[in-house]
Amino acid sequence: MNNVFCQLLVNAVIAGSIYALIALGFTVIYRTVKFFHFAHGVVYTAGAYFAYTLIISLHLNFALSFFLSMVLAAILGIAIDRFVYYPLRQQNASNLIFLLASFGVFIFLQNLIQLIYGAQILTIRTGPIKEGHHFLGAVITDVQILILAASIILMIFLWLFIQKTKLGKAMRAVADDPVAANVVGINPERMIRTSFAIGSALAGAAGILISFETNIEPTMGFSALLKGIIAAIIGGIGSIPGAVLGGFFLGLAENLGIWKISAGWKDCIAFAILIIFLFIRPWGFLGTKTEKETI
Amino acid sequence: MLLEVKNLTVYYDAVLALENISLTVSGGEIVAMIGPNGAGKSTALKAICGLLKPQSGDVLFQGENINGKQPYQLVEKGLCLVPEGRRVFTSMTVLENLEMGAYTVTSGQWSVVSRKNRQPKVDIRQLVEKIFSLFPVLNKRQKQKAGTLSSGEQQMVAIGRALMLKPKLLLLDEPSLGFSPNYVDTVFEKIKEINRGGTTILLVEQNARMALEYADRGYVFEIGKIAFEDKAKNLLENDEVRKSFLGER
Ligand SMILES: Nc1ncnc2c1ncn2[C@@H]1O[C@H](COP(=O)(O)OP(=O)(O)OP(=O)(O)O)[C@@H](O)[C@H]1O
Ligand SMILES: [Mg+2]
Repeated sequence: MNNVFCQLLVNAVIAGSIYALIALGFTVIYRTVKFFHFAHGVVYTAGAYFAYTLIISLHLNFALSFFLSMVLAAILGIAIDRFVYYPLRQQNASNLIFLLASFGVFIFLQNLIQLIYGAQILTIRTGPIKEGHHFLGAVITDVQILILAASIILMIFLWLFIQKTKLGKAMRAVADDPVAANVVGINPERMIRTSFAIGSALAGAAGILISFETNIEPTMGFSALLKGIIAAIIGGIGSIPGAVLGGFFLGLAENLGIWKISAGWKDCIAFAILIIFLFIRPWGFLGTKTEKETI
Repeated sequence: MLLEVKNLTVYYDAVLALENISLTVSGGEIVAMIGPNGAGKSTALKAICGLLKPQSGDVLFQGENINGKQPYQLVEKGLCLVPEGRRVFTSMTVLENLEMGAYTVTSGQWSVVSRKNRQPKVDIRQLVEKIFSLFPVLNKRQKQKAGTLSSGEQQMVAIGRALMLKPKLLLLDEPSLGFSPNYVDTVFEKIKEINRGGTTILLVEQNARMALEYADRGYVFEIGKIAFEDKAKNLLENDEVRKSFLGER
């Protein structure tokens, strides 16, 4: 094994954990509302800017900023649902309308961020770049270790929440069958709100973590959203373990794919994988074959 | 009167599905709703429990007007629907499905339901055991994902789930659907047993004759209207009903 390979592997896992977080949030929301919430991408961007504001402008410490930014992202998600999707639900809008609305929200909020912070690149990192740790010939920085650790902890929390708690079970019930959930006494609106809160907190967390690692800009959410959706689809749309698997798979494929070819091909690899999956295994790794996909 | 439905009219967009129907159910009864496909029987059940919003009319449960209430708000009042076509939580186990039936009474949202709660409002285990004694097959399958059960077993889960909180009024939409013909008798015996346990039942059935044999009273639906209503015994003896609705010549 050579050093380049090991370094690419490290990069792959870091990218994968970010994709997995975005895909997880997307999936949590998709499971209850059953449409593609594109504005998820701008919640990720907002997470990064919340962190920037708290750390750089308000001088709060990292841990507190991380936590508060996730809370703010959750609130943003709930607000998007309350002021855009909820009124549409009341009118029994079609999925196409939801899709267009979610694009609209994406563009509106992205422009709002640009208006407030400017279009230029911002950076949270201050002081000199610290030397990373050497590990099997690769270099891994403290921030990268933080990204990996935080993602894994969030995934474990989400899993325990969904599997074990009463609220998590109710969310699974709504995902399986909203009518059946309603007749056993579960308020569907409440579960939708909860899923927006949790899903958006996860997107926010991904944005916060990436802001510790790289520069941020208002348009960063678009490609992150695409990667998250690709990860969710190849993992099996609606599957929670699938979202994690898809995220790491995509990170690996992209980063190991450029071992022999130029790095400019990264996005191309992601879309090639998506297309291959759509052709030969549209239900992804862990999705259910029978389920009709509604976008 | 446990349930009173007055002048209910339901449209699907512009299509009239139920026109000005009225019906009543008193405590302790088994009431059957029969009639051809598309007559509006399921629509009636959905409108009663709030899954559909009627254009006009009133639904009174225990004298209280429940217009505009959603199904989840009625569960606590003791009105429970088993919808058409089973609708179990496919990715959840049989046990978890039954637990969801007690959703409204279990403690805190963040608590772990399946484990023994420290201060249980109710003993879920005890409720589940009652369901298992009604449908013993489910006991053996409690850890199995409900989506992998046979259709009859899924129907048992759906009924069992609705019975967890021992509702005052149980609405059953085609309970015998999915059961093999020689088990349909048993299903109706179970329904009778549930009824004797103190749950009033309003059911919709394609097995019209069988339903009327077990019911106290019946309503015969015909394209959005009630064509006949009477004691079940009388309906079974009514020539017109027998000819047009029970498939006899
Ligand atoms: N969601 C809907 N949108 C439009 N029309 C509907 C809808 N659901 C039912 N209908 C129509 O309303 C009428 C009554 O349907 P309903 O399901 O109540 O019949 P039913 O008596 O339960 O029939 P079955 O015995 O086949 O279950 C039918 O003509 C049906 O096509
Ligand atoms: Mg029906």
